Amino acid sequence: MAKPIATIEGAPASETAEKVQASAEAAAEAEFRRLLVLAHERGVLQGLSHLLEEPDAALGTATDWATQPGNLAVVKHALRFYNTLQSIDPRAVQELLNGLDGAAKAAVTTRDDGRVLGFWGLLRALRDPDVNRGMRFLLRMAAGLGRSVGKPKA
Amino acid sequence: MKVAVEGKPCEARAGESILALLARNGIEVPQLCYHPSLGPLQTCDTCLVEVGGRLVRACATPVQDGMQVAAQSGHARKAQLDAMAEILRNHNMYCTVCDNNNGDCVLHNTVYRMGIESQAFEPKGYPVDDSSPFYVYDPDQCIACGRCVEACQNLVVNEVLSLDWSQGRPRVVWDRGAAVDRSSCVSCGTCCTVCPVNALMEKSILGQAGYVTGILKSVKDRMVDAVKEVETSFSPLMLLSTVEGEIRKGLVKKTKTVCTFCGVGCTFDVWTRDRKVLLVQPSPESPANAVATCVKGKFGWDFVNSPDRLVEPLIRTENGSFREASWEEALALVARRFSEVKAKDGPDAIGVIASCTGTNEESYLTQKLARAVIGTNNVDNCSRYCQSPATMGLWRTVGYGGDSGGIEDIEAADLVVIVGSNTAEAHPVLASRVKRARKLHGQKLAVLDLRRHEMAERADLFLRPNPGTDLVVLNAIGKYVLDQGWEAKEFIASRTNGFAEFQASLEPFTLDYAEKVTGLPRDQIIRLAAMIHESKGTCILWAMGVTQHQDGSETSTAIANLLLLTGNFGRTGTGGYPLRGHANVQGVSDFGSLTGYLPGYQKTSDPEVRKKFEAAWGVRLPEGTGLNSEMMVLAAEEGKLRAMYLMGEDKILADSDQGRMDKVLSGLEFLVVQELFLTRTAQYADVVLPAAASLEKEGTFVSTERRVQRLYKALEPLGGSKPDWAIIQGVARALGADWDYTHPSQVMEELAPLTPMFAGVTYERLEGFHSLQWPIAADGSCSSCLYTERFAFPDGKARFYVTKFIEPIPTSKEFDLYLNNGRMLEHFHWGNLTWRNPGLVEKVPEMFVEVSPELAASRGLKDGDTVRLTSPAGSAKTKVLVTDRVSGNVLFLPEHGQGEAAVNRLSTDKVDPSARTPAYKEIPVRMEKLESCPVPTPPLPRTNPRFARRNPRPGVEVEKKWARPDYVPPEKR
Repeated sequence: MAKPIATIEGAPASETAEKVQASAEAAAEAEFRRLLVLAHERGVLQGLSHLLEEPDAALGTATDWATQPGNLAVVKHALRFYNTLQSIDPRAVQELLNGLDGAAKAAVTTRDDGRVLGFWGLLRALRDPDVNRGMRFLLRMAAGLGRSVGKPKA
Repeated sequence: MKVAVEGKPCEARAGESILALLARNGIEVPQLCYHPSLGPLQTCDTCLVEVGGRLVRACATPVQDGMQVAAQSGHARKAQLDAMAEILRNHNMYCTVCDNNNGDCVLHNTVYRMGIESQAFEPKGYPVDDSSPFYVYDPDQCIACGRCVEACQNLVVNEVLSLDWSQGRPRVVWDRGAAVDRSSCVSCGTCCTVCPVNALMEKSILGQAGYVTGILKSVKDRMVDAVKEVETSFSPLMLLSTVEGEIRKGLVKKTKTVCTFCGVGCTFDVWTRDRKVLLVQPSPESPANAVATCVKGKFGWDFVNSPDRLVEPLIRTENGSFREASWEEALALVARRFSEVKAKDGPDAIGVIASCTGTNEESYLTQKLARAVIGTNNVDNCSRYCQSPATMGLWRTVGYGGDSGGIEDIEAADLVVIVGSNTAEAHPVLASRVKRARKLHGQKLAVLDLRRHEMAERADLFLRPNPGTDLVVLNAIGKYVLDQGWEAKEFIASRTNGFAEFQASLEPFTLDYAEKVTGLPRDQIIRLAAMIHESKGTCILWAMGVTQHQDGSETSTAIANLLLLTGNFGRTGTGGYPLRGHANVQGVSDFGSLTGYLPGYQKTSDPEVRKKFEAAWGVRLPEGTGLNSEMMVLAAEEGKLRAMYLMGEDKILADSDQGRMDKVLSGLEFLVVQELFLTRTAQYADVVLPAAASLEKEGTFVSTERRVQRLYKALEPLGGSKPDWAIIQGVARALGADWDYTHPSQVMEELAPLTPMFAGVTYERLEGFHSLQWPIAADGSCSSCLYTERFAFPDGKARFYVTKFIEPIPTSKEFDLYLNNGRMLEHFHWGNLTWRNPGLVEKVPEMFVEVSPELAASRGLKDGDTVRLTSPAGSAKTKVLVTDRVSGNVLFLPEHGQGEAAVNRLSTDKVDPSARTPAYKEIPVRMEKLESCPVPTPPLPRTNPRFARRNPRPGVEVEKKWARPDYVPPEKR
């Protein structure tokens, strides 16, 4: 008579393990093991293991660092800068940069005759169409800056 | 209809909403509270669009001819953004570290697509409710969209949740403000499924879904606070979280499957990460359940990774233990011993029982193994214990042994009559359809049962007849219908045979007789007859309360007779529905693991059928019918059956008269058991073969509504376990067969051409959530509603069948009480799967016997007392729960006990003579108090929902939101 039993003895190793894969797969495994050895030699695995074992410590540290007042300010500035970049019209920036480029080239390549420029000399210079155009550009920039600075804070 | 959207003309369909029109034309508007399974809730206001200068909600506004809609510009866009700002006041965005950001978070995706860059979050100050073992509610993340409330109130109709609009900051409440675990919440999980954010989260996924979601909460909170301190724009972080949400797809696998528990056939995606089951996510495209689930389907999968799982074959040793063995050794031993028994005593000395939770393909291979390899017709399945009488009743009368329509027919009926079924606990998602139809559409409900369960509480008419007298009630109704001239004369004349004889057979079932036998007042019987007469369409649902009686087949037949008499077959919203209790009770018989029948109910006694299968299988098949499960027990007792192969059935617990089964299993010469666990039955085995769980294999199931659906493999089989089909093939090959299936689809390709009922079944046709309801023609066409043109008999007509009443086993002076038994919501079958789930065990930690208050008072019993129940067959010991769910001298013992409270210690050897199903429900007992509990302590903990009171509401009640003084209606924005 077969009595009901509930005990299982310790298990021998399974004889039904699948046979080793084809040689291409074996080669891939060998290359992967080499990669692991290299990563271990350079301490990458140990670092990752530590990060995975104790992520809270690392993240907590990073968070605490980021929330130091000075660092917080840096992050804020960076984000503000990022936002500003988002809102600036690239065409306007391009025009400004072109202007600065022209200005720099002119300043470097045009010969300075050394004469002191007085009040009337400035007025005469304004008759030069290029100088006049440049001044108008600078005045527009000043107006824009003034408008932005003068906006009520949100 | 012609409308214009953003100035461009569009074709509109009559009756569709603006939201549907926009979606169909690829125009995005936000929509947070709308859900296709719930309809428009109108709580979020994010879908506001401009029509003729006015803002309207796109979800709730039907299109009209000539409409001009502005959905994405100007006023509409501003209104949408304002609504989103209010939403984001209620929800803190930290998507990268949120377990809900898996590519489908509605709020995250809406914020990202709308380019919203900031929020002004204000915490609400309510504590997190972590009391449930299954899910958590975080009010600070709740956007008060009401999806959960609508789902709870009007989809699954468990009526627990409501939105408290009177609070300064509205939130969801359980019942009237209870903690989740002290409420009437039955943990169906549908609220979690529909929540568009992470306010309601399944505990199993917390910390698991993302690369950085598993961080310690204290660190996560500091990180979130730090980010909130510096962020001036969502943009970079939304990009990060969106990309991370995309990358998560590599972490979490989503696999469609069919639930392994009851026969409703719920389908859903199972989310897994490595071997962990993270969550179960149903979908609106799930044909049987849409987004609904029950506690077991949603949260009951812990057993898959239980440390108790068998992972290697086991062989019995001489010294009273099992040892692990290789598959080669185990299969060789099985083949050798089966061959020895066959050589000595013939193939009919071996019996094979297929599993009701195995797949259709596995059922086919089981019967093929038995018939074509072993050479016996002794093959059966566990539906013998419960559903065979229902099948018998339908075979006799309408021809097919299955539900005559689909779940949508039940929902569409004018009247649903439930006989002997605790539907809300045994088939919760199907019960939801009945509850919903009643609540929203005025469907009438009548219940015949011994217990006042949830459906009885909700019924328009609840009849509580004496045990085992349902047939008398039904036939008395039939006679009353005839006496009043209410029978469906034209239907009877044109579509049935045998009416005259049937009519004559009802003569004895007068109201006087019915009153005397059933104990029901005649006006209740008359009232039910009138309800059936007055309804435009009646569905009758029944289950083990009918079938597990000596006259189970007769009562099932009487149900079908009554439906024929009143013309309630062959139309939408009518018919007979035996509710199959296991995932594949229907399919295991459909695919041939049934005594006397090859696949598709083709008879083994039909020489033409045998010839067809012989040609296909290349073997000569045995003649005759074979032994069914109950006859195998008798044959074993007589020494004629010497060996058995049992799959997925805990026979020592499932068969009646446990003492007798102990002798039968112990006395077998050789027993093979194929199982997930070392069950009580497996402990008797000579060889135990470890089977894979349903999540670990492919195949198909047939649900109670005859729906064939595919399950896909979500996990690899654990350890050395294998899918049942591979094991059966291994046994066959060890016995010399040359089977070489490599995938279950090949099995279906083989059997479909041999089985007219499944001729058109292919895996391609069942891809994803597609399904077919048999019979399925070769071109794949099928129909949910049967018998619209003809019944399944050669002349196409149904048959009235004369029934006979078999009196139930009576109580006596010695055994003066009546023990009823059945299912509980939280557990399944004998509990091998559910006793291994901590959450379910927390809700129902032990078995108990329900005793009526009047009986408890007369016997001096209270909650927690220990009693012994003794029947003519044996005795059991359990604790008392005093409840008015039972009345008089009728007790109730749940069937899930395995030890001293196992119900089949008490059941007798009486059977239904036609179907041979044990009469489990007919157990006269006596009860003795063994131990008094010092302080009344119910064996059900107070956290069980049965102690709480539901809170029925009409739904979200958004009008209350609109009436708030701080609410600005769209027309004023």
